[in-house]
Amino acid sequence: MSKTDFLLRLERKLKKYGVKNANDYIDYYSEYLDDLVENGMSETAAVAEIGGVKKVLLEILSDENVVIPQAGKRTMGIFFLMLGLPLWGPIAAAIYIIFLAIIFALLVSALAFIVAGLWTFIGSFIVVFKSGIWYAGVQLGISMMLLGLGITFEQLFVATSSGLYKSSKNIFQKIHTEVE
Amino acid sequence: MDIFKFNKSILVGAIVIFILGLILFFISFGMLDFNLDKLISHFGTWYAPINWA
Repeated sequence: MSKTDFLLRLERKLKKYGVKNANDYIDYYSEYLDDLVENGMSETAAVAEIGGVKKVLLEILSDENVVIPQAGKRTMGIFFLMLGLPLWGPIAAAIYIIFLAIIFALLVSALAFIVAGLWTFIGSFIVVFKSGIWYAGVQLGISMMLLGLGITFEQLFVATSSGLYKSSKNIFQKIHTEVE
Repeated sequence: MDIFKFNKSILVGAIVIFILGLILFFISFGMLDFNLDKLISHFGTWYAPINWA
């Protein structure tokens, strides 16, 4: 690994770990490597001598002069999230309520279709004797359509409600672990 | 078979029942010889004869 390659990788790692005074360390290791090269080592050998990116990174992170802001950004993030609550809170609540309303509508539709279907189904047997077989056929057909719709809506209700339950659980679990 | 869990075969069964009902309805309705023109030409008010003229 060449000197510039090493320093670039080190800089990237330091940024990732949020080291504020990364430039001080980059300068230090740059000079250190220059010294080693001046003493007759090749660049690769010099990089190997100081131990590679990982070892140097560990040394820097455990150095007493290293400046890593503790969770500052995260606090600011939560602060802005709370500040924007009046803006995004109602929108999020509205979307959630829309989903709840759709699920409720599916439940009511399913109940209505099934009750109507059962009622016309029973009625069709009376119609056989009262009005004739084809009248009963019409009513039985209608009752089957209603029952089919009812069961379809019931299944849609079950699918959407369990979907909402699972996603709500996931969201709240995520918030819980984030806060911790 | 638990009807309170989403089950694809129940859904398919429901759609089959619906389609069978639709077919039964149209066949039975066709056998009854309703005069459809007469039914719909009064804007659905055949049961309440309103004198439009």
